[in-house]
Amino acid sequence: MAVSRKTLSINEMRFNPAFRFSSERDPGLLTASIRESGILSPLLLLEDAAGSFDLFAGFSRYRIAADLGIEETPVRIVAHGEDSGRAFYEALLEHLCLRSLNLMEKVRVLGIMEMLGVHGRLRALFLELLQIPDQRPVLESFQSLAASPASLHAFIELYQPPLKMVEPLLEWNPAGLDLLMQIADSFQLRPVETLEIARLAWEAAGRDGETVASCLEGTGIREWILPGDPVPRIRKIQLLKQKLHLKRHPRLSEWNAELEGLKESSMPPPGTEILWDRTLEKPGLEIRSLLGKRTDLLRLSEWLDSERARRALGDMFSVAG
Amino acid sequence: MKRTAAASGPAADPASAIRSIWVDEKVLDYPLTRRVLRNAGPIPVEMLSSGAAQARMAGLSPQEGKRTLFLTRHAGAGVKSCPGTSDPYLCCGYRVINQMGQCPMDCTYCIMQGYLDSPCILLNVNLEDMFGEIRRQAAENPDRILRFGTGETGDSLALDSLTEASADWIEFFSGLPNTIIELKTKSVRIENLPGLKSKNTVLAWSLNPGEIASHEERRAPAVPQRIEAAGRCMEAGYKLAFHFDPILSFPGWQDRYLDLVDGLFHKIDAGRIAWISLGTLRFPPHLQGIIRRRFPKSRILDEEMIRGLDGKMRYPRPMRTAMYRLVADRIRLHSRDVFLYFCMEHPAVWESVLGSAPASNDELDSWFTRSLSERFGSFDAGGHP
Repeated sequence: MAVSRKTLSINEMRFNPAFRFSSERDPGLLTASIRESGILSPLLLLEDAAGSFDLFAGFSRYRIAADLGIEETPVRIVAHGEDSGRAFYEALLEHLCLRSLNLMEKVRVLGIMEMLGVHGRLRALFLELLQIPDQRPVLESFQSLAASPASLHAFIELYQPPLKMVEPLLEWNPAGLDLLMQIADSFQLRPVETLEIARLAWEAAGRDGETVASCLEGTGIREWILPGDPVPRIRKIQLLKQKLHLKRHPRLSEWNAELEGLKESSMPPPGTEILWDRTLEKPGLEIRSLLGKRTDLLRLSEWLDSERARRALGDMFSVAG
Repeated sequence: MKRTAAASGPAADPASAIRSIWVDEKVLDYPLTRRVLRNAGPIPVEMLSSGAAQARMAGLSPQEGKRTLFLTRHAGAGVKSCPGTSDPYLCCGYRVINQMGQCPMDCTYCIMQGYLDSPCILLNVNLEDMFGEIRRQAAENPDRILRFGTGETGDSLALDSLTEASADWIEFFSGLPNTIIELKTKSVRIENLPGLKSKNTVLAWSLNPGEIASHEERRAPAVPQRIEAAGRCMEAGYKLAFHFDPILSFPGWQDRYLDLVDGLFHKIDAGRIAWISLGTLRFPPHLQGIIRRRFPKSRILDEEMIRGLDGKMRYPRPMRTAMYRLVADRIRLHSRDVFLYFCMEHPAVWESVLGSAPASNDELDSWFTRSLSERFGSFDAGGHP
């Protein structure tokens, strides 16, 4: 690998956050070591066509050196090309000894690999290191993730969901995603709640051929995400789910409303419930009654014999039976 | 058989979509491999180890996969009971011959998009292994009529101009009296069929209204051509079957399905139809994402759906019942005794639409046998009735 080694002033290096992968380790020990012995392991720099140097690996050492007022540090310099890819691989390997990368960091690594023109065997090594299967759908998901709005990136950074979990969001347009993220933020949704809302909105939008954003807008959500809205968050989540469900299942909602009306009209005695599968897939009605006293049994049998109950239950059965 | 050089119009040969053939180096000497290569004409052929083929497949898009035919062989015999679905839905006891995986046609609703690992069209050339397994199953069930089909994980005739496999199957099954082979297709390339004689072959076409076929069944021949091809096979003496599956809900579906049923019975003698199946759209939930990604303009996901008791997405039961009732009543108007069954349906739907439901999958299988014996007599091999 054609790498030049020398010392360089830290003022000549550019701190490019795109290349930074935080190690999250306690800098105390490293600071003490550098204060006592200076920087022993050279910083890795990437030289661009104009002769400028981007810091490539060794961000903690760079920061500590700057804080301690060290002006010159040993460096290894690589130029763009196969060598820079190899050097990046080694830096990443070293980093991965300290901690694994999260999803967005993997997206960044893939972006850097592309920028450095990594291909062939080295690319395969990178993918193995990142534990990313070399499969087109997976790589396309990473590409979509890279192109997705910053609000989604922030969501992922915050909750660290796995790729599988966020994949459904990658097909959303930016407006829809931004609105979803606003809702998640305003309602303090956990990832699983966010993704459930996402799924409901996506299905409801698909049904009407709307975009997800306009579907969500159609629920009147803008008014609920205003700061200071007094409705409790649990209630807001329930209402939003109901509205999306209604959009997704208009007929089912209608049939269930009809069943509710018939149930009311049958006037079951206290302690008696009429239940049915809300998807109507499991046919039939379930009548559940708490018989605490002998009179409860009498009341139940009188009700079942009544014309009102028979008619209502018959009508209910023709929908749910 | 001559293969159409390039797709041109709806009657084009689906096999003309194939742009490259990969051959697993282990199957080079199989007779079916040699036949395909003989029929391949100018299509480029590459020999690969199965490992290399797997690696190449990983990089193929679904579109590229549908243009690549991979000749290989099963690790096992590849003859299994139809995976069907779970209780309480009823399944018919069909036996699936997994000779082919994927298909050159590209239907938006195709379950194979999410079911098979390979984007390529796989053709398992180890016919003798499959024959052995079928012989074994037939011998183990001497008192039953076993229904087998090659059209579950692929289309039975789509690549017939390359494989000529229809003849292999028809000839093989003609020697097994307690079996039926169903060759299920959307293709109209039936040139290999008329000269063959078999009493226990059923040629089956899946049908949907033209509006659906043109929008949701890419590279599949137009529906009138399918019915016409079925008519030619009927004239050649074959028994037929039709699959209204998936029945789809879309604006104006009622009239379109009624027209389709009328059009079918206008051309086809009901007395030659061994069975008709009905099934509304259903699929595992993960297929939704695949369909949306691959076919953003498809409308099949627009309709209201629920997650069924087997976990599959379906229209709500009252909707399905109404759809089946419309189609089944129209079929009954044309024929009172053609055998009608539902694919993966709830007994309550059977009851509502047909007035009774089999008590179990085995009973449904016995209904098939009874109907076939009553309507066609013996299904023994030895020429057409």
